[in-house]
Amino acid sequence: MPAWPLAWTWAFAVIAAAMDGRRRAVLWLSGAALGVLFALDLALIVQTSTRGTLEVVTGHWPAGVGIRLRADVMSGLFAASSTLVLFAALLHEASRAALTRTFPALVLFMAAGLHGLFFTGDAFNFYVFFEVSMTAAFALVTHGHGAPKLRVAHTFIVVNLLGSVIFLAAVGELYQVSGTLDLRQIAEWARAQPSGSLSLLGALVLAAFSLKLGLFPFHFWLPPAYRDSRPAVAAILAGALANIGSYGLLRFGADVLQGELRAGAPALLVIGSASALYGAFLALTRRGGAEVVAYSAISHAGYILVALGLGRAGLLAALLLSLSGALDKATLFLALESRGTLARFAFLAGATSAVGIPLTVGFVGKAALLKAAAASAHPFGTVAVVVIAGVLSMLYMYRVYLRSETRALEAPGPAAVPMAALVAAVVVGLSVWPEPVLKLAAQVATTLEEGG
Amino acid sequence: MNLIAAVTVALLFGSGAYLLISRDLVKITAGTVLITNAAILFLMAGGFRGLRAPIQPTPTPRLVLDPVLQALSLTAVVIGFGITALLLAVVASLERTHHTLDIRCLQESEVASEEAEETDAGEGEEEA
Repeated sequence: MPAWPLAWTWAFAVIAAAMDGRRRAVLWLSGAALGVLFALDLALIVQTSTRGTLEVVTGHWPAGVGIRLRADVMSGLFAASSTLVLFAALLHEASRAALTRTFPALVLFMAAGLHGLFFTGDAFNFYVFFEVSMTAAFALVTHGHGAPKLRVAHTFIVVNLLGSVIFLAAVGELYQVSGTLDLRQIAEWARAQPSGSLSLLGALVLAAFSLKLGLFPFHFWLPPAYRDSRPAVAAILAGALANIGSYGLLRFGADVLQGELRAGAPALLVIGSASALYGAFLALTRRGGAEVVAYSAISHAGYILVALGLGRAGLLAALLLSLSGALDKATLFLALESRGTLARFAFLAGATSAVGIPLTVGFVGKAALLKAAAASAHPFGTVAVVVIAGVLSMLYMYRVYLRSETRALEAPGPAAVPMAALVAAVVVGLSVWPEPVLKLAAQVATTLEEGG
Repeated sequence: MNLIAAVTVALLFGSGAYLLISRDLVKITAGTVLITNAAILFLMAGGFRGLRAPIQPTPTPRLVLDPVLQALSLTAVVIGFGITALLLAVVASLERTHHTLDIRCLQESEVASEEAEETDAGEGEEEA
């Protein structure tokens, strides 16, 4: 039942909002709520993979009147990975610094918004939940640090608000041309249209989600926001909020507007390659660890777009890269702030995964991307871009690692609860035993292909 | 009717974009308000089939405003309102700490306070 995780988180978010988040009890309550949510997500993945797409119309309204919630394996995978990141970030922040009154509630509202977004079957509801999680993110960015960084928060809010406005215009236009807001009906309608006739809509959707994901021409807000917020908040932005961008591109691009994705493939390849290389080169020039990881996220977003531009063969890679990118960026941000051997291993796991070296989940995604690129019509350019960006990423990650290692040796601060290690364990675990995730991702890719 | 709506949307969006490139934080916030409302008017304008209120019993369904788009606009207005309030709160707290709303002055003020922090940290290390 896709309604359960949503209702569960929403209820706890409201309870936590009414309570004082500085108290330990509220922290444990929120942590437990997220833990149960993760179990619910996993149960939903199992259910959807065996029984297919689950659908429920809220309030027992007749279909077409009530709002439809719809869950498939793809939304389950995104939901589970986001929940994991939020859980780790919440406990990490609690172990590092005194929580503010609203922090646990904001994390829960973010979880609720993300679950609504992943599980909705309605284009306008997608926008509403998108705004719920964005608003939670806006408040989180202003959390914790002193007043000097608020200007960055202001820019972050203004830029992302513009992205939401673009998406709202796209939703309005979708409704006007297709006459429905139900995503599946829009998809059926769009399939009947001549290819390329919806290119304006496709461009609007691409711009809106690229902005959230931080792709190259829309990236300028991302590095300052990641650098100047608390590491736990940066992990939430990179590991949970960025999922909106990749999920939106997969849902609206690969599922709803398939014809436009095919028609726009050359543009996707160009923007994706530019983003992958630009992010990698800029990461090399940065000194601060958080900034390097932020540019590495821009580079990784480029891979996802390249994978989408490769057509059907790239869908599996796009999904795996979205999941691995979110998990390893979260690991890196949390590990950068922690001290001790465990944190160093966590950083190493995150960095290897971002580079795409075996024994981490990043390798699984990178391998799928290279396989799809090699099988495409023009393999040379795409493979070259992926390999160059990969080599550069190895260089800058190694530099950050060296610097963090010396720093950790000099100042062996208090060993925090190593939440970074938890996410890192998942990053490694998913690669040591990749069959379940690969099988699920392949299932998603086949469903998306069959739809078109 | 469509022409009036189109011109208004264009005007709102243009004025909003103009305000966005100014250096005053309140003006930038006002710009986002105008752009949000341009999008909401664009959303509503899609339902301008006729100009009667969509209240039962409707004379002919073809001649009333599209109620779905009205509902969507209402939701978007509420969301826009909430985010504007949040933005203004950020602006207010910036004003309180830096006593300016000009972006360039803010940048200078931030650099100054960062340098102060760094010297503090440096002194702390020497003592340790």
